[in-house]
Amino acid sequence: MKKFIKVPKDEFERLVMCAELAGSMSGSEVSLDEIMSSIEEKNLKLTKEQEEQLQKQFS
Amino acid sequence: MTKYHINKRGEPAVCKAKSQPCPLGEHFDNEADANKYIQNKMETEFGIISKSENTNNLIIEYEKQLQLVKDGKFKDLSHEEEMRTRLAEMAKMKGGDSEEVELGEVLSSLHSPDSGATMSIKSSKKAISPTTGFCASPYPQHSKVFDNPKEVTFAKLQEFMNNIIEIDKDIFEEDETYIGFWNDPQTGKIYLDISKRYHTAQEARIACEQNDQIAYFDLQTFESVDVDRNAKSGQIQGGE
Repeated sequence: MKKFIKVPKDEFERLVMCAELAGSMSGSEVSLDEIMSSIEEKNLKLTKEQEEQLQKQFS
Repeated sequence: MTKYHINKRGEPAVCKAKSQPCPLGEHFDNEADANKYIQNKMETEFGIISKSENTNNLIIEYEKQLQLVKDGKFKDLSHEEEMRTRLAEMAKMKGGDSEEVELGEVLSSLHSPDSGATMSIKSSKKAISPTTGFCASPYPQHSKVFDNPKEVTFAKLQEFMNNIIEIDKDIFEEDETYIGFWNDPQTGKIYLDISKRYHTAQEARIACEQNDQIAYFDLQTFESVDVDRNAKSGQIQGGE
């Protein structure tokens, strides 16, 4: 069966969704380091809440 | 063509009048329209009928319509699209057109080819998933295939998204745009594409025809509806 989900418009949310999808489907959780690397590459400026969210979800 | 009227007991019934015009007043193309007429009449003559009664009627009519579509006895393509679209409209009235779901729940239908067992998906992250209408991909150039779930890495998913944005910068800004994914349980391959949700079956079918897609997906019956088995895109094609 085919499944559909909305891709977030916000770049940060999209990145988090990719990390969740990849971790869930591949069976290997994505590390916080990997995510922070990606954020740096994209030159994203995170809010305090976003940093805390990443810490909570991926460390 | 079968017509319905309201019989002397106040119920929708098939009109079998041999002499025309039938003396029983207004006629309808289907039972659902006849029921709607009765409800409207009751509202205006006797006040508002209870919400639960409306909901129960809708649920009953929805189940009937769902069965009709699943039976697949359509006169022609136009009739099929009309029936599917009516079902989608009823589904929307019943429960809205999207829902918030856990990613884990959405991904849980993916199967491992080794055991046939469902993958254990732990993500509690929420996502919006469309629940009514018809999905088709008007972007065959944005499809991707992974040979197995282990290949769905963070880096590759990001590459997939970034490649799309490079070509179509605002694609994810559009309201009815979704990422579609499914797997072939026999091979374990995972397919991703960018799909749009359409509110009528006809629109979905035209999108498939215009973009060389094999099928669209009916969100009410959870089935792929073939448009052109000879198309090159859709369920199969995708590229690294």
